[in-house]
Amino acid sequence: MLEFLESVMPAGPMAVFVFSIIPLMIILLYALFAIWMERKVAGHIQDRLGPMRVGGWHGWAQTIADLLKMIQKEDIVPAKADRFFFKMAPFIAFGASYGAFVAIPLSSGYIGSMIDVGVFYIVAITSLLSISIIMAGWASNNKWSLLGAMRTAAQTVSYEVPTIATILSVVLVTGTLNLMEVTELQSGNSFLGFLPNWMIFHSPFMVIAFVIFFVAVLAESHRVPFDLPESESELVGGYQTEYSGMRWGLFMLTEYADMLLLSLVTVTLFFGGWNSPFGPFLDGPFWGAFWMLLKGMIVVFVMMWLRWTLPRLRVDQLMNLCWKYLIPLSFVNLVLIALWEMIF
Amino acid sequence: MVKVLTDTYSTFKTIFTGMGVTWRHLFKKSVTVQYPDERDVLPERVRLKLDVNIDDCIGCRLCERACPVDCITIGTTKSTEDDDLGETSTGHKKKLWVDQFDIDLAKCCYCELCVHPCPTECITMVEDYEYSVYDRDNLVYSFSDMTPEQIEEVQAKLAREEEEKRKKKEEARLAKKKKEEEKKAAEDDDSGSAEAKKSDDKGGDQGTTEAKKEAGTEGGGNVDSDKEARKKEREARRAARKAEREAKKKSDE
Repeated sequence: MLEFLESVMPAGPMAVFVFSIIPLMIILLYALFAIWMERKVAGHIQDRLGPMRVGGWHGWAQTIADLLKMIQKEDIVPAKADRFFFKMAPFIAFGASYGAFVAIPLSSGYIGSMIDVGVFYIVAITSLLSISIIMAGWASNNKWSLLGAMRTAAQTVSYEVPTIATILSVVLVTGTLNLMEVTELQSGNSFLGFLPNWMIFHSPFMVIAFVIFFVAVLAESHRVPFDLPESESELVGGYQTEYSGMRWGLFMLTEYADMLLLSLVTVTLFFGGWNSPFGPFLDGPFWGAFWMLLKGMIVVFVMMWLRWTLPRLRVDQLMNLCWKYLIPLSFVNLVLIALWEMIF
Repeated sequence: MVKVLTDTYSTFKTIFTGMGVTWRHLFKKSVTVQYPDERDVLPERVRLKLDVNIDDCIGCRLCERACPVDCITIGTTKSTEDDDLGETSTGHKKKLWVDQFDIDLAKCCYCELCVHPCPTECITMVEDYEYSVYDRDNLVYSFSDMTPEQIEEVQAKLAREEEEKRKKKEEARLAKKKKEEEKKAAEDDDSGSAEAKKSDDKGGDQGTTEAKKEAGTEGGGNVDSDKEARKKEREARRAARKAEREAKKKSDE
């Protein structure tokens, strides 16, 4: 991809710029679509219609209208806030989210950087997100914000353990941290013949690993039922309380970008990434991007579906679930997968 | 260990049950009515707004009396003998000019108690619920179709007629008295007091004849054509007022 761009573009840096901006375009378009979709899903699950007016067909332009509104709004910084960090936090948050897209293979022809520590890099850089949230909460000089930020810290630190343990079990099987190679290893059909050779069909323990990973990912992206850092009803938005206008919009964008990122990681690790579910049929770089994004959107839809189904957990329940169930289970599962690998 | 397993099982079971419920609702027809585009069918006998067919109103004030919040104000003037206000569509004879029929819908509690007493069924509830306004005063609906000049005219006429009647009565009374006194005078033969009475009568007589003249020139000339003209005028006024009300409503919107 980069070679192709360099051959087309006159200047090298230009090609690199265009190359690196592709995920950003995808994120922005996806965020416009996903916020609308979230509202539609929420509406229809509650027997409502959701946005119907803006843009004509089923309110498709609602997010664009909201975006225009948000850009025009005043950017308020509280008088007692730490101005520099308060203003920086949303950019760091989005930067962390966007930075993680580097290591994700969007298709067989596109990956930001073929680094050999891809998954490790993603896990590391998404931790920056929780730092930016703590930054926002602390700099706001507001009790709700600080409480939200502290909950984020506790939650992220706890849930990174089962996430990493389940990622390790995938890495155990594939033997590489490079996500492109992980995806390539999942192409073709499995030993059963009809199922694709995806990681989720590798062994029954992989299904358990997937469930643990998905729950942990939900918690890491602060989605319901693990949205304690934001919890509109008790913390009035948590770390977002003092933000307004486009800075708040950036946090919103980060939240949705994070959803997409973690969905894509889930797809790459367990559902064959850009591999077509029909073997060689509809395969290739372009169809690869299509399958990758389609699978990602399905996972995003499941996240939305869960959000409008489940109530929020209490803080102690959250910690209970993580430390008493997910972490022991993920380690036992890791050992069992290792044994499975040794035997078969 | 067993507890952990049963807990895990019940957790997943409940999550999937809930997801099944939301999945079913995702494809259920939504209950939303997109209001300005589509509207709910209103039930029969809805109580949304009061309307008065002023042509049928006989000014009996039964609705005003029935109203628990006093939101109806009716003003009436008796018609003079030379005016015929016609009949209502239900066959009641109209005897009163209804010069004021105001309903303050800001006060109205939509109890419909005013509708049932009406003998001519001229006050009704109609199916209009879109009459919100920015100024509360715009919720006072005036249904009377008479102009201030007309009201003045009618009232002046009534006053004149009453005056006339009163004078006639007075005259009759005086004449009676006079007769009696004459009788008495004939009996008593006291001329002094009778003279004084006579001069009084003369003054009164002059007044009544003048009033009669006035009434004659106005009412007696051409009764039928006069009435036609007035009726036409009234209708034109009503249309103008309706248009005005519409305009007011529009400006409010």
